[in-house]
Amino acid sequence: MDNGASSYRRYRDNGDENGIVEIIRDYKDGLILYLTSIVGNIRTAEELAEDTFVLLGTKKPADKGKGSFRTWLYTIGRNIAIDYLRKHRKHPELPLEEQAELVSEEDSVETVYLKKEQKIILHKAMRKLPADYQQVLWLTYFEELSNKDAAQVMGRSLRSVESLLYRAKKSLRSQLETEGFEYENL
Amino acid sequence: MKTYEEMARDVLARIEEYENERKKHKKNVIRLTAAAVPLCAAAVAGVVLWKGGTLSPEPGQLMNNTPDGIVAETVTATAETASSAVKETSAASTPAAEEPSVPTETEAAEPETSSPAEEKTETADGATEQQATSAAAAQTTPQTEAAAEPVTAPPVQTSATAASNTAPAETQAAAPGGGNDVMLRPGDTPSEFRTLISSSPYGVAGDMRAPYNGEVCIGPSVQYAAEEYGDSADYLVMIEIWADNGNRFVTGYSELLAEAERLASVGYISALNTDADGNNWITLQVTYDQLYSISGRADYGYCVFFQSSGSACTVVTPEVNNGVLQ
Repeated sequence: MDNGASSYRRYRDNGDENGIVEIIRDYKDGLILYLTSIVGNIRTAEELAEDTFVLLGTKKPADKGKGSFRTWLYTIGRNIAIDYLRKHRKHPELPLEEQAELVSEEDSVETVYLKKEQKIILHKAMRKLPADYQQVLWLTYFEELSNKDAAQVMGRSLRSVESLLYRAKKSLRSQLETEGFEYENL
Repeated sequence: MKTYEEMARDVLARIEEYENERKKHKKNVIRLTAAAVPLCAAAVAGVVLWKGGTLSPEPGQLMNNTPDGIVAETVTATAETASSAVKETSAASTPAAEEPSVPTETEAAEPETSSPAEEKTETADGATEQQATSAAAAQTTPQTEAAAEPVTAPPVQTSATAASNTAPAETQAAAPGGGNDVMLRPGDTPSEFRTLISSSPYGVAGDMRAPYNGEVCIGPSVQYAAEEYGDSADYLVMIEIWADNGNRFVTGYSELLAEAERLASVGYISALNTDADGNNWITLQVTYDQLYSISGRADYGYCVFFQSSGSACTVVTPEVNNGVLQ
């Protein structure tokens, strides 16, 4: 799946618009769900994901090739999300109807993206955890990034991510047990 | 939620919009740069020229920037003519009746101070002048002469001789805008301009005796002018030379040339002039002291007049009392 680097090179070096379309097709949903774990709102995450792709298309930053393309793309998306959070410190309370709509949208995306029932249950339980736990669990479990790549995306040290992941798993287990699931079985 | 096709379409549209904005911005920058570069280049060139001294105003020009003074003046002195022309234009001048026998002066570097009792007149050669309307001037009988006579004789000395027919009775600002002064560079000392008197409205109607050998007779108009201006001005005078105790009027070219050269060698600014009729005469530019201490030859007698003087004086030979020499 991670052939985004070649698609990006085609777009950046040859102006092939199909390259950026392929990147959007392959990474859009995962990026949105990851950004949702940061900003807590799937619509905002969708806008930020779009901003991330626009930034790729306009500024055409150079991929330094240190990690995978996905790691690099998520890092860019995370920085954009952090900028967004800086500018919008106060999150207005959403009406209940809109909240329900958002949950529904998130459900549909996770169904499409995660596919497996187990992962969907895990993701639902994970959405109730703190943002940092959501991020690290998303990156390591759902995106299957190594701890090192997750640390790079989150802008943390490897040791910090390992510690964070340990506490996140513990917290997720507790959440699943509360909801009647057994962590070991998932 | 958008499908990936929708998002791709939106992303590509935003990328295109961004590119268009960037192109427009680039065009604006190029346009502004193209407009600014010639201005900057001109400014730099101006600064360079200014620093190089090309555009620096000459000290004389600065002196001439007086509100009521002379707008322009040209001083020329050429090797061929040994004479200079002074043309003055005064913004405040009012043409009036011709009055040829009015003193002329070139200027010291001072602003002109007009007096209500003075009027400005213009002579035949166009020079502007001012005439003091004193009682003495009213009594003077003006004598009209050719304003400028062609001179062809080689000069003995041509340094900064400024000749003109008329002059105001007061000092005007000199403008060293012509002649060699245009070659002045920063740090050079500009020439000193002196008031030059070359005529006078005052005179006495009468005859002068031809001078004996070793005698110097100064005409009344020159004396009047010298008394009025003293050492504050130079005087442009012509010299008649007599030999044999006033019995021979010296007119020969070579003899006058030799005398002009001798006078130049003893410190006078002298020139030998010849008119269209072949008449020769010597002109001197002298200071007040030089005027009254002309060192003549022992075998010559000298009469000193203004060349365009309104003086009614004539010189008569001892033998022929009614012989008039012009």
